[in-house]
Amino acid sequence: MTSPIQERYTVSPYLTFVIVHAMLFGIDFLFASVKPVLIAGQDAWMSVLLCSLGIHIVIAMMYRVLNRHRTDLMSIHIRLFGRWIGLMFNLAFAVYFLFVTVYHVRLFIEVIQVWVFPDLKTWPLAAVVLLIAYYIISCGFRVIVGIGMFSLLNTVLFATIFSMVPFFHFNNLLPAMSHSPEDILSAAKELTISYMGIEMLLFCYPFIKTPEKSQTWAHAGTLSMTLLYVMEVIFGVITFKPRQLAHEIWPGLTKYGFIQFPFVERFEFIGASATVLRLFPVIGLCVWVASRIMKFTFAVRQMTVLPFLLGLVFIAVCLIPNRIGVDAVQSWIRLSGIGVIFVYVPALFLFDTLRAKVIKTK
Amino acid sequence: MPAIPKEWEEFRESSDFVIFHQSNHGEPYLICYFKSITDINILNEQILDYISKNAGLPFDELFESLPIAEKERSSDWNAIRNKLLRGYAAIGHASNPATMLVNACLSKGRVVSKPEIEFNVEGPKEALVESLDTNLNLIRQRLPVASLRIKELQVGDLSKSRVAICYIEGIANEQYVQTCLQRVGDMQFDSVTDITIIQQIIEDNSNSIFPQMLGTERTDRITWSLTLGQVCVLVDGSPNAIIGPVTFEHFFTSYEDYFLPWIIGSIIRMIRITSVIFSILASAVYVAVLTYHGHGISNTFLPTIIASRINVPFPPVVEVLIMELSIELLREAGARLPSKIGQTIGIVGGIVLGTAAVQAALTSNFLLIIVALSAMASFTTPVFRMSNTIRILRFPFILFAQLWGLLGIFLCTFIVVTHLLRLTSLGMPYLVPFYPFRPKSLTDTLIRPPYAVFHHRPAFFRTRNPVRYDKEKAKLKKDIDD
Repeated sequence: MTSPIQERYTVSPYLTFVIVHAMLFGIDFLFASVKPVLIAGQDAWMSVLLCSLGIHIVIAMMYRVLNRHRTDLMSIHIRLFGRWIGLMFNLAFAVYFLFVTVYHVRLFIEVIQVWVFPDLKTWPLAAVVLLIAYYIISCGFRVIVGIGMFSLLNTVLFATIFSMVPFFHFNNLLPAMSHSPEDILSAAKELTISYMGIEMLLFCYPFIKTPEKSQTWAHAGTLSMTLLYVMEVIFGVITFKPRQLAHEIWPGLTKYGFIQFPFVERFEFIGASATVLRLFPVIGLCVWVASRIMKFTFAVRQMTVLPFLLGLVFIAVCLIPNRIGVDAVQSWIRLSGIGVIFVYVPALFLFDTLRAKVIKTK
Repeated sequence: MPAIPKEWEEFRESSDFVIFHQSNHGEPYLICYFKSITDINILNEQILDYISKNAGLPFDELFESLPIAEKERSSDWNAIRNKLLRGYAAIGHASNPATMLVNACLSKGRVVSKPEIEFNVEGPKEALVESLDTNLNLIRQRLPVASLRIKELQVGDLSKSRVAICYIEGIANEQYVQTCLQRVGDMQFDSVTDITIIQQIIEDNSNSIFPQMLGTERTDRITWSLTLGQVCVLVDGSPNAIIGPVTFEHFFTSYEDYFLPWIIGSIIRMIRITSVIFSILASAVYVAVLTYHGHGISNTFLPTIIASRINVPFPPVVEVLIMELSIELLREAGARLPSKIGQTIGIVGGIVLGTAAVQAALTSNFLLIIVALSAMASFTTPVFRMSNTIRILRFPFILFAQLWGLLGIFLCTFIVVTHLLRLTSLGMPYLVPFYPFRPKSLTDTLIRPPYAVFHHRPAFFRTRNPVRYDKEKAKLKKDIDD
């Protein structure tokens, strides 16, 4: 149904690393370590590894399905479930990605309101951010991935974690293995939110040159993110006491408060403003996918549908009034994210494998 | 062709058109030319003299034996007209329908002089001039190889400008050459007075403030680019050439980097890139910090700034805009005046106005230093068009900084980066080798590599022959005490 993508719109396989890294290194990263550490304490790093293992398996499943059909999820849906049910699934995904966008934009504005400008209204910043997003997305997939590449600068900011070495209490890591497997598992469940975004690969697949080769890079991206999460979790353990951490909403930003330069007193202004680096690749990719699904479903031009989608996002962002609203959206996103990654993708994989076997025997 | 053809009446309206009959031993000739573009010496001493001496010869034989290389016979009116307008003399004879066209072109122009815009201390001091033939001569002299191809086109309905497109066959990618040839061939404009007009028309994105082809007046830089596989476009009447495809990074390399030892060249290049970033961000950061993030500055540093602007009545953004605009004004005034008066402007504007502005508490010392430094930093950009871009780029950053402080600067950076990501130069991505990431071509970007490791041409030019020299044949490095 979708025509093959022209080569000049595709990206090299290694950029899958960038896509995965950018999607997983979103704004959630700044607080994702709080709940797991509260549940599993010093053993939370095991939860990270456990969760990461699950993600690797899901990636392998996704690539098995994608490589078999050699197209993106939209066409696979139609092929497996027929036209109407397939379109329903596609639209569900579009709604899901739009919600992820709303969530990220609102979260970003929240960061700015808490850390930089307490009096800032939601709508002006949302409007400017979405206008810039429009510019980015209208330039096409290559540019969106390029923005993801630019956002890798964020990893440099992550390195500021080492400026806190004097405040580390390595004793907090002991005693190791003192939590029950139940605790570690439920911490792993809390962590899944941080690995959301991996489902993006289902839609980017045809835009990658020689997509079979990109699987290694997808695993590499997940691996590097696992490393960052392990560091973040251990950092959470050795810097904060559990009851301190319980009061922290943004431990990832609090750490900037410890950084001192000769002429910069409060580094958190820079750190919080740099959150924008986490924002744009995620919303760029999400809205891009949503607009692509619209194009696929309703046969409209992506350029036409893009302002409408961004307008919807804008209205939704403005309707979320405060932290409580953000939390509500967050729990919804978490549920659907886990559903997509750990229920839907394995189910799709099983269904597709069985279907292939049946066709083969016939 | 004894009688004057009807079509020629058009020319006789111009006072510099000369037409006369000459009879040598009873052979009636009709001779005409434009005296403004014809060399009378060549005409008199070589052509007319020869004709009168050999008047007995038939017309065809006379043409064959005329000792001038550039000559032709034609009876096509359009061809004759075009040649006449290029400085040829037309000679007709009653017995023959064809007209003899002989080149007696007189070209007046500057002699080759030192580069004035891309000045350098080391290296050759030779810049292009307005005459295309001289320029091609300079390039051909530096590249005496048969594979240097020069394709000539004509553009402009009125100016009839000759455009030359140079590349090296076997190195340059045909796709870039074809793109260039096609875009120049398709361009529509009546009068092409300078290469920048062609540049603006054939660039991939004409609405961008970033130049997507590199203008240069240095013949050595042109030669270097040709050997790397780039394409060079020259036009008659312009002392500049444009080179494409180029990457963003090329605009921050001065050709002098290649003449210095590689360590020094690299350090200077990095200083230049830092100064460009400083130039764009300095005044925006000043606005952001003093408007929103005052408590972000450390206590040791804050009193200095406060003390310097305690009497200034304006908000930081107005202060910055006044200062930035006066610097721009100073620069523009300096550029429009003759160089001697320009110096006076510099002294009056820079020193007198600057000091007076601080004493009158219109601006702070601190800002004066920042603005002067960032203006200076923007002039380190070796390519003039890019340094203009850098200067203009400051203003959106200042406005965004006023809007949302550091966050605004980040947002503006995203807009600029997106714009750079979407740009292409003759179809090649503008930010290559950073995006798409080409690790092997990173050698000649932030650092200027030593020639020992520069054995391959950058891969992003997609050259036909990527090898510059065989590194196996190059001398092996000695071991210790070997």
